[in-house]
Amino acid sequence: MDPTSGLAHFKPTAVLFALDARHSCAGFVTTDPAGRVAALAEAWVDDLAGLWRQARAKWGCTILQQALLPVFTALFGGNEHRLPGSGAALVPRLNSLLRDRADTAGADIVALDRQAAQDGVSHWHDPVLWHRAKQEVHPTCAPLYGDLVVRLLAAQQGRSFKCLVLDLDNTLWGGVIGDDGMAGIALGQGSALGESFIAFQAFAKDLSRRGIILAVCSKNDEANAMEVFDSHPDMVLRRADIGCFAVNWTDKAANLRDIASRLNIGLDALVFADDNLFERTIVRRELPMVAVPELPDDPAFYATTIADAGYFESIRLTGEDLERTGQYQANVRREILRESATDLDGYLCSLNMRLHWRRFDAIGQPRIVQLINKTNQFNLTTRRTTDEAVATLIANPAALTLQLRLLDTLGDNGVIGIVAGHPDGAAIVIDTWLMSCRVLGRGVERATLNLVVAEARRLGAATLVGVYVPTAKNGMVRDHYKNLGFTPAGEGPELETRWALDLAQVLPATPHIQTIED
Amino acid sequence: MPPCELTWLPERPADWVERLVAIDGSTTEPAWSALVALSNFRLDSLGIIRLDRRLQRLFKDDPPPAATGTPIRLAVLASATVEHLLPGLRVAALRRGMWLTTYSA
Repeated sequence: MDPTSGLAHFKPTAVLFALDARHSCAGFVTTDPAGRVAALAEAWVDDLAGLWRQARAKWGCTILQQALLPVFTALFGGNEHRLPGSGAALVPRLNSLLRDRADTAGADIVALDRQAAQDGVSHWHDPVLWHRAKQEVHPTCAPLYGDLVVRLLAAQQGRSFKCLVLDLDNTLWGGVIGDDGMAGIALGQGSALGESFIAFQAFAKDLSRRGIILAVCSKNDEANAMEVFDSHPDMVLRRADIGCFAVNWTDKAANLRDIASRLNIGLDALVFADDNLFERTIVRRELPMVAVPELPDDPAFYATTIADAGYFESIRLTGEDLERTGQYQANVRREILRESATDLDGYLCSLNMRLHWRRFDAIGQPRIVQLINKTNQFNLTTRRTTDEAVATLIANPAALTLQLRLLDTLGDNGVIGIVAGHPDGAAIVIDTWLMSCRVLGRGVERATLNLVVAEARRLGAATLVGVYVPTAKNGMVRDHYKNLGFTPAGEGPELETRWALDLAQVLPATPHIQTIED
Repeated sequence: MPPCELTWLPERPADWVERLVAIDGSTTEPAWSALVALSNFRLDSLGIIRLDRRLQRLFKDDPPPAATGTPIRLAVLASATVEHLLPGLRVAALRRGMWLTTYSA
């Protein structure tokens, strides 16, 4: 970490520690007793964690740690763990310690060990290349290695995909429901094909449980398709598992646009799984931002193909993730209710909205970091953050911080807004204001402003300064501050605009939203 | 499924090399979009190297405005040879429309 080094000059935003197994295990002796091996292993992980800390303190970078490749031959056999100092026993042990430490120290693991277990170590590592050129990872694995690393970097920026859109005929079941009927489609026990589709549905359902939204995009008569979801005894996926249906005879590109719009997510958050090469090709051409996996002929491999692509790579799991499909379904129901309502105010009142707020705290920290790093559309500055930076804000009584949760008659929307600001003379400057697009058009922005104003006044500020930094994705909030009554207050670099609000003025109330401090 | 391949991506089309060579570097946005499109095929390590060379020639130092996400400066701190892995890292970022530059030590 020499300040004059090429690394210091490079100023990394991310550091990948890519240690090879042989060097990592060099300090261990094969016949060391278990106690000594355990102590050395702990010391090895401590040293690594120290390097992570130094790198993060110096550059504010994110940390990736490559798991060790299991390159050693066994010395003991099936019970290698009884020779704890052998390389073959050490690698899984060190990898386990690495994972535990990474969880608590904020590093993310590049799981080469898991990938090698899936592909076969001999594909990943060739001892000849090691002896000749000290290449631990085989050059033919370079494309996949790159993807394993970059999908994590993308996840750190909140750029993983959010929604799996599923075709129906020959994707979720075998055959064509319109032709074959309920009794004729291949689904369920009794045939290899039917079981393959059950397994794929179970995979999709598990994705949904961990926070990936499921949608359906199919050329079918809606009634035929829905009957399968509602009545087929072997269906794993039911209507309630699907956040959004687009079952009609419209072209799939148009339906994918509609799904993204109804779910309020970007097209670049969609993965479209369809067995039909023609449909895949059209969607790739019309919507290049949508990920379209090349599904193999045999449905037994659908799940593996989608999992291998790493579309849904994640770095942490929050309570919100576990409730997501229900939230999106409730949102679609709200939208239907809104479209059918003739009186918007009456509709908003009927929702009985409660905006619960509290300042940043340790309990909310993981979700705060996740939202700041993944929200692209309703995000005024798109400034990303780290656990450390949020912890600093929590500890700073002069900082303005708000986390907001919205509940209504149709359910809990979860944490839908984050605001953070810092004092600058007599003003509070709002560095971060982001909201979930799911709650737009309901007056929540105005209710949030009223909370921000109250907090800024409590902190003794006379003015509130809002900042808008345009990106390719946040055009929807270009006029956010203007719409809330702020006046232009200058421009900054990168087309940044600044907006001011005099805190002495009285702002309109939002009677249809009750605000509650938790 | 063949191991260690980008099996979820479609096969490289027959005219892939022609399309790579034909990218006009004089205008930034179409060149970047063309590179992103060519990265979204099932490339082997030689294809990755070839694409990376073109990428480096056109966008080595500065991220193009059309790149998505925050530009990434990735330092790979290794105890073994990793130079052969760097093109795969840059092209994997390109596949997502992201710009990544690397440093290795």
